[in-house]
Amino acid sequence: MKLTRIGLWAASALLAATALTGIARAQEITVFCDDLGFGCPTMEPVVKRFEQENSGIKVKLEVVPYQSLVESLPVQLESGQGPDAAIITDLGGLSRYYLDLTPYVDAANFDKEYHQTLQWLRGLDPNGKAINGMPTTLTVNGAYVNLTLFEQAGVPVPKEGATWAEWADATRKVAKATNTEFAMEMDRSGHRFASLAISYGAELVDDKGQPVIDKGLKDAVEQFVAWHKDGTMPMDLWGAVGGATHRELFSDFLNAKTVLYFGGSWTLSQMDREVGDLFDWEVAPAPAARRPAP
Amino acid sequence: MPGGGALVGFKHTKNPEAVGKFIDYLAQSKNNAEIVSAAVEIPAAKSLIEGGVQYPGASKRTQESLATYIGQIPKMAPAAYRFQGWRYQRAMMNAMTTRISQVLNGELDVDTALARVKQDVETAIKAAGQ
Repeated sequence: MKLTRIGLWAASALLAATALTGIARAQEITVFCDDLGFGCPTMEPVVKRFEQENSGIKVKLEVVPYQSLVESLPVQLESGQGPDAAIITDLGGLSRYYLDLTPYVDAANFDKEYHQTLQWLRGLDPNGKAINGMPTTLTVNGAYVNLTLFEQAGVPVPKEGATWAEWADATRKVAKATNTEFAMEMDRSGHRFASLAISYGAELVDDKGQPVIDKGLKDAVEQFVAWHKDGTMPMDLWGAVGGATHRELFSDFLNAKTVLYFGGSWTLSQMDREVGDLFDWEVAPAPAARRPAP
Repeated sequence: MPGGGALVGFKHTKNPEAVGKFIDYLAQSKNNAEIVSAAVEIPAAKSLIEGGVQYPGASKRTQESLATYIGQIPKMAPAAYRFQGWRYQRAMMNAMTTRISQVLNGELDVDTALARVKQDVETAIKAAGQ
């Protein structure tokens, strides 16, 4: 088994070259994955055992960074190119390219273990029966909070149920007292923004599968813009980059450039490894828009 | 917002049986738990969500954080789950990111940006032949 890190286009060129040089003795499949979380490095030991138990099959795990995968894979698939398999996050959007695994897997086990998320892989046919893949993990968005900065500033940490406004207020006080560049940061990601929007009551999609623009979404956008204008959040992230380019800000949190970083659960192992005990930190659940009525 | 990935095979593969066998192997509970544990992530498999996964390599702080995240799973709004399962979720997320940046840069006001988000998604739906 090979575990290599190369760019997406290089990986596909390599695939094409292999096909041209003749027939491999084993069935060889290429899998694109990331080097974070449920990805290439963590799959490696299990894949090694799989190859030992299936001597006719070779599995090549290719590390492809997330942003590269999101931008390039759909284009490749559209032209009939690309790997044999991949770990993807656009479950519904890529559904027209999936191989139905039903003839090859323990279908009863799949239905038992993944009933709800298998629907997400069926795109236009959520009530169909196709087994279009194996959901790898559930992720949850949430806030990483630098507790050491709170302690240094002498500001109490908001508790579960605190609103976005309360977090903005508290983190601004902490940033000021500790000379920290930013109070809050959020990944440049529509998925992260959706947490904010939903907490403000945005519907986002109706039961006919049509987009919804409502007061909740507008309120969330206005609040988000206000935070950028008053310096609570850095203008040079959401403001400076164009289009839909995805950017994650883990390193800013690691370097204590922000008091609160809104990301999600998939970076926990990175937090553990890289932040470790550098400073005290915790995860706070995604804030609410307003406190519930008494 | 919930999220997560999936390990999928593609129709164009020359080795569908090998792909299927490989994915089936990773779906076996013992193998799946091993990967999820090393990844320090929340499992997608029902039996692992219910039975729990051990994270022996993770610090106490990380284990507490995981518990915080897992505790949120039943609390996330139905709208969040519906959005996550929507075929055009990515189109709308990309639209929101793009148009919000345009507001921040002073190119669009909020109302125009929101109208564009709606158009962007409707265009994507049309392009997919809906």
